[in-house]
Amino acid sequence: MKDDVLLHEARIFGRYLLGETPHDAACNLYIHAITTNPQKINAADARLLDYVHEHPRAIGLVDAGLNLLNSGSEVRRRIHLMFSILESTPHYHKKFLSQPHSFWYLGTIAVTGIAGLAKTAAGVVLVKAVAK
Amino acid sequence: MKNVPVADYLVVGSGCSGAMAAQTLVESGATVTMLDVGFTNPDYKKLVPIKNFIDIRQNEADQHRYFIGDKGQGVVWGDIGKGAQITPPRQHMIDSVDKYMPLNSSDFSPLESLGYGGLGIGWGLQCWEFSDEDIKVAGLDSANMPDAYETVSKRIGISATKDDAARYTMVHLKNYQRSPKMDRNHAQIYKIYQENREYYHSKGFYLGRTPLALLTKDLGKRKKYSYHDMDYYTDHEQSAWRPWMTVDQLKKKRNFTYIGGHLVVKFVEKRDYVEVHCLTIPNNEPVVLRCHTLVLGSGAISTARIVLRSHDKPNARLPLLCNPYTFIPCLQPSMMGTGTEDKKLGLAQLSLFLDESHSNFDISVASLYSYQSLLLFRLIRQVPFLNIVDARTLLQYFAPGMVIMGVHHPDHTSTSKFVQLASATSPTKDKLNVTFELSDEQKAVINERERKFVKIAHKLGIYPIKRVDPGMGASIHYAGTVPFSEQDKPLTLNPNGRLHGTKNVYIADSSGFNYLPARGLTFSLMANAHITAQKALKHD
Repeated sequence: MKDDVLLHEARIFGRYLLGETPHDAACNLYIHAITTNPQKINAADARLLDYVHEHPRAIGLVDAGLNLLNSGSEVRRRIHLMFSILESTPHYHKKFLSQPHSFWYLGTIAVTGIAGLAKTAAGVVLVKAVAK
Repeated sequence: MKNVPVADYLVVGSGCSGAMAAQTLVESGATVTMLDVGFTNPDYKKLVPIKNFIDIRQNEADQHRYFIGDKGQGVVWGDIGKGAQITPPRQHMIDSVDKYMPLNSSDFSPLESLGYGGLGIGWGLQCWEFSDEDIKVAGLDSANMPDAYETVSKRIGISATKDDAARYTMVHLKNYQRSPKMDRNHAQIYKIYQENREYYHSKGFYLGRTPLALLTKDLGKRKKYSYHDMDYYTDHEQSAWRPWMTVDQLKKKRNFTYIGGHLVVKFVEKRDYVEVHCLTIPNNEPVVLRCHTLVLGSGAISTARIVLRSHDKPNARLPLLCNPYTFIPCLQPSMMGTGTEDKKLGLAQLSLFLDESHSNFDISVASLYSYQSLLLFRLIRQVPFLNIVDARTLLQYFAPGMVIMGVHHPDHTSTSKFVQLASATSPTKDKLNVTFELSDEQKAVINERERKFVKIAHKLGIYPIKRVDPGMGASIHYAGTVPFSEQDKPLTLNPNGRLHGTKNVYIADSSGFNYLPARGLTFSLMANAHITAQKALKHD
C-alpha cells in the first residue's frame, strides 16, 4: 500500500478518534507500523477499508458493526493501532487520561452507551452490505 | 567443536533460580561460571525517563517508543493469552523463544525466556512463602527452607506487613521492610475488609498486603520505591529486584564468570567431570564446556528439555505442574470518575486467600491490581458492542475504578499433564510436546472457588464484569518436571536436588517440586536454589 494512501488512512482514523486532524508525526508512526508489520487483508476487509476511505464519516458505524460481527478484523486492528499511537502522544493526553467528573457525568456515560448500541445496530447492517 | 574446561561449578540460566544458586556458590568461594543466552535490550534503559507516569504521559515526546514500541510491537492484536503485560522495554524477555525452544501443544501455552534475568525480567515481585504443609508435600527441605527464605529476603529486599493474611504470606520471615503505600483502590478495599473481618473469615477468606521484592528503604545502591508507576517499563533506581541485578553484582567477583550467547542443549557426565553441550547464539555453532558440577537453573520446562536430551531415553515423558489461572476484571464504583492518581504503584498490593478448611494447604489466592499505567489501548479491544470512540468515553470514566483480580489455583501431578521431546527442524533438532489436561474434578473445584471469589468481591465493593480464561500456561508458574523422589529412579531428583543416576548434576529451579501451591512459587524456588547450591557444595 502506498504511503499517500496510508497517510490518508491515518488522517481519517485520527479525525475519527480525536475529532481533529492528527499531527503528521502521529500519522508517520502509523505508516511506519503498518509497513513494517504488514498483515494480510481479506476481500471483505479490503472492501470495508475502501469504503471508509471514501466515506470517512461512516467509520464509527463500521467500527461498531465489526466489533459485533468480526472483532478481529484488519480494519479494527488498524483503528486500534492508531488509537494506541494517539494515546501515547503527549499532545492528546487529555483525550485518553481519566479526568475527575461529578456524579452527574454518569448521565453522559449512559447516553453514550445507549447511542453507541444504536450505532452498533446500524453498523451491523452497513458492514453486512459493504462487506458482501 | 571446542572442548573447554571452565569452572568447578557451572550454573545454567540467569533467572531467579540461577542467580540465587550462583550467589550462594560464589559467596562460598567456589569458582563459578554462568551459562546463559542472555538477550538484552539496553536501548530502553536510557530511553525511559525517571519521572512519574502521568508526567510522562503529559510531556514526553518519545513515550510511544516504550509504551507501544517503535514498530507498534507492543500493540498486541488477537486473543488474550500469556504475557499480555509484557511491554516493549521487556520484550527481550521472549526474544527468539519460538526459534530456540519450540513447543507444540493444543492446550498449553507457556511463557519462557532466553533473556538476561529470565522470566524474572517481568516477574510481578510477589514473595509469598509456602506453608509448612506446602513445603512438605512439594518435597522441599522443611528443615532449611525457613532460613533460606530469610537469606533470600536479605539479598533481594522484601517489603511486607504482618497482618490478617500473614499466615498465608510470610509464615517464617523475620527480615523485611514495611509495605509500600497502597493506592486509593486498594486502600478502599482494605478498609471495607477491616470493618467486617469476622464475616470474611467465616467464609474462609483472608485479605492482606502482598509481600513484594520492592524496597521501601534504600538497600545498598538500590533506592526505595518512588511511586512513579512505571513498573512495567523500567528498573530505574532498582527498587524492584530483578535477577540481572544479582548477576551484575556477581560479575564484579573474581571467582565468577558470565558467558552469554550460549544455549545449553544437553550434558554428558564423564568420570571426573561433566561435559555441557551448547549452541552459540546466533550462529548455532556447537561448543562443549567442562565443569566439575553442573547446576541447572533455567526453569522447569527448559530444564526438562536438557534432562531429556541427556537421558538414554529422550522420548520419555516428564510430568508438569502449572497453576490454573483466571483473571477477573472488576469495577469499583466508588472510584469511577475520580481521575488519575499521580503517585502510585502498579503492582499487586493485596492478596485474597480462600482457605475454607483453615488448613493453610491447597488454598486458592487472588492478587488484586488497579489499572492505570498499561494504558487504555490494552483494555479497549475487550469492550463489547461499542465502537472505539464511545468505548473510550466509557473507559476514561471507568478506568480509575478498574480492579483486576488474578486468581491462582494449586496444581497436583497427574498422568494427563506431561512433556515429551520429539524430532523437529529447529537448531536443537527437537521440539517439546506438551499435554496439559485438567480433570473434570479439578475443573469443578476451580469453578466453585472462582464463584466464591466473585461473590466475596461484591462484599468488598468490587463488581466482577466477567471471568477471563487466558488458557493453560498463562500463570507463568511451572514446576515438577524432574520431581524429588526418595527412590533412586531415573529422571527424578534426590532430596539434595541431585539428579538420580548422576554424581554431579544438580537442579536448582522448580523442576523438583512435587506440588505447586497457588501462592506464587518464585520466592520458594529462590530459597530452594540457595539450599540446592549449599548441598552441591557440601557434596564435594
